[in-house]
This record gives sequence, C-alpha cells and structure tokens, in this order.
Amino acid sequence: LYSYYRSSCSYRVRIALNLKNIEYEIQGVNLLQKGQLTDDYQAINPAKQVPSLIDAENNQTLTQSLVILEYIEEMFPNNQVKLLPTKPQERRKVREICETIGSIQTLQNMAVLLHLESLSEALPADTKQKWAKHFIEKGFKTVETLLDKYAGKFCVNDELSLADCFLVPQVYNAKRYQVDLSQFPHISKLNDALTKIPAFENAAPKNQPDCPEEMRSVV
Amino acid sequence: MAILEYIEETFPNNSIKLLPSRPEERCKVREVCETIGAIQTLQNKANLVHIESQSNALPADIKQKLAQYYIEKGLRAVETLLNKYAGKFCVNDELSLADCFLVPQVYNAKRFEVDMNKFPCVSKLNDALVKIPAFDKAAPKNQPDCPEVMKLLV
Repeated sequence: LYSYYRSSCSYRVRIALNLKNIEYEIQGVNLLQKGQLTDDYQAINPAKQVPSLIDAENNQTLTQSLVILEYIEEMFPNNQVKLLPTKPQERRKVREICETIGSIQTLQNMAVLLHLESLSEALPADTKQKWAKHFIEKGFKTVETLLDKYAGKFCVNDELSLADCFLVPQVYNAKRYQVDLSQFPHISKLNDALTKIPAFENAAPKNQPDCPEEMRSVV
Repeated sequence: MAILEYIEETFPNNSIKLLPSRPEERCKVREVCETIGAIQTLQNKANLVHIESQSNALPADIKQKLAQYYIEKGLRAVETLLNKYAGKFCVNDELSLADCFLVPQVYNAKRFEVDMNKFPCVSKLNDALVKIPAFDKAAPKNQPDCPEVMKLLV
C-alpha cells in the first residue's frame, strides 16, 4: 500500500485492510517531498495521489480509496467482517456516507489548499485553515444528518462498514483544522467508539512506519 | 455514484449491465468514475462562487480559470486511464458507469472552454457516446426543466 501517514485517504484503506485482517506492506510516499510526483509513482497513480494498492497476487494496481475499499470487499467477502451490507437498500446508505465524506476531502486536501493560496498574494494568511474548516463543517452538517437517519451502533445500523472507515480519518482532518466537533454529536460519539477498536487504532497516523518520530506525539 | 450503484444492483438484468462481473474489471470502472467525480466536486458552481467570495483581489475570470484548471488536471488523469482501459467504450467494449460519468464531464469541459484536443481518447469516446439515444435523451437541452431560451445554447 502506497500511503502517507497523514493522508486521510490512505488512513481509510489502512483501517479496512486491518479490519479484514489482510496483510500488507506500507510503502511510504512522502507528500512533503513531492514523492507522489515522481515518474515512477505517476505510472502507478496517474492522478499523482495516495493511496495506491498493489495486489501482486492478482496483478492489480488500484487507485482511489473507495475503489480500493470496494475491491477489498469483493475479493475478501468473508474475511472477519463484511464491510458492505447485503441488501442494495442498505449498501447505498454506506456509499452515500462514503461519497459525502469523499467530497469533503476532495475540497480540503493540501494540494487544493496550496493551489488556492497561490491564486493571489492578497489572500489572508489563514486562508488555508479557513477554507478547510469551511468545507469540513459544511460537509459534516450533511454527514450528521445522514448519521441521524442511518446510524445504530456504527455509521449504518449496527455493523461496521466502509462508512466507518471513511468517518474516522475525516474527523482526524477536522481536528487538524480546529473544527468544533461539539456541533456534530453523532459524528463525535461514533468517532470516539471507533477509534478504540484496534484495527482503527493501528491505522492511525502516529502508528505508521513513515510517521516521523517528532510527529508521533503531535499527530 | 451511490445512486448508480443502487440502480445497477436493483436492476441487474435490465437491458445492459453497467458494471462488469469481475472485481478486477469493476475497479477500473469505479476508478474512472471516482476520478471524474473529484473533478466535478472541485469545479462545481458552489465551490467556484465560494472561492470568488474570498477576496476582492482575485481576478474577474477566476471562476472560469479555476474550473479550467481542475477540469484539465482531472482529464489528464482520465486520459491516462482511458489509454489503459478503453476499448469501444471507457472500459473494454461494454458500456459501463464510467461512460455515464464521462459524457457529462465533457459537457462541463466544453462549457468552460477547455481545449478538448488535448484529450484525444476522451474526445473520441465522447463523440461516439453522445450519438447513443440514451445519452442524447439525457442531455441538458432535452430536459423538461431546460428553459426554452437555453435549448439552443446548452
């Protein structure tokens, strides 16, 4: 798995692989050093993003976190937990939450923030922070409404699913940009429960092999 | 995407399958869809308007420029994927959800005056797809809520 310790999209896949008890090796891609822009990496991921998953056994190279998660679920339907319900009427709830959270991340990822900042020197110094906060809060309002409708013990009913794999990393991002999570009681409560689960804890940024030593207590 | 997957799961045998059977092929369709989905998330009107509102110092054409930037960036990735995956359609020789995503994004690209010559695979597929009745009927100008005055423009 090509992953950056702090990448929320990589974090989603790490959680799912852990939940499904699938063994994997992390290849750290250092986004601060533009590791995603090398020709070698671009051959793996044309969008020049993390994560990418190489399934060597089946000769597959996969990109896009939701695509990877759906693939994992289809290839290993019986490992440990099912991460998608059986019925279409329930599966679409899981996907709805995933896509909603995915859109948040698309709007607040670092590449977008840096591009935005570069548009004009007249933009205030805290533009990136404000921008990320705006889109996370906007998206979380929607997620909170969906969870209000769908959640039981977990994001959708009482079974773990891909939606839970998406939620925890986005809450991590929200905290990074100082979003006030008390506005989102369902999200907060679910996140608190989920982060205690070993598969989620082991996937956390601070526990990654490419997390710099000095960052372990900070992230 | 959630709607499309639902439709495909609820009506698997209607007319055509919009997702291949094997996970190794399904992931290609989804990869194209998600890549295009990300373009749209970045270039949709709400986002552009919000950016414009951030500062009076931004140029007057910022919305257009940003939309072009994100569409071109995304279509470069899509072009690479299609070079790998496309046959008669986006993924191999069967219609799929990826084709459902491609045509509307090309529509947006043209709206923002993106130079489509940069994307030959995308352009060629789009030209073939828009001729299919199901795609033509879905076009903006053929919608019940398309204002009369717009029918010739969109």
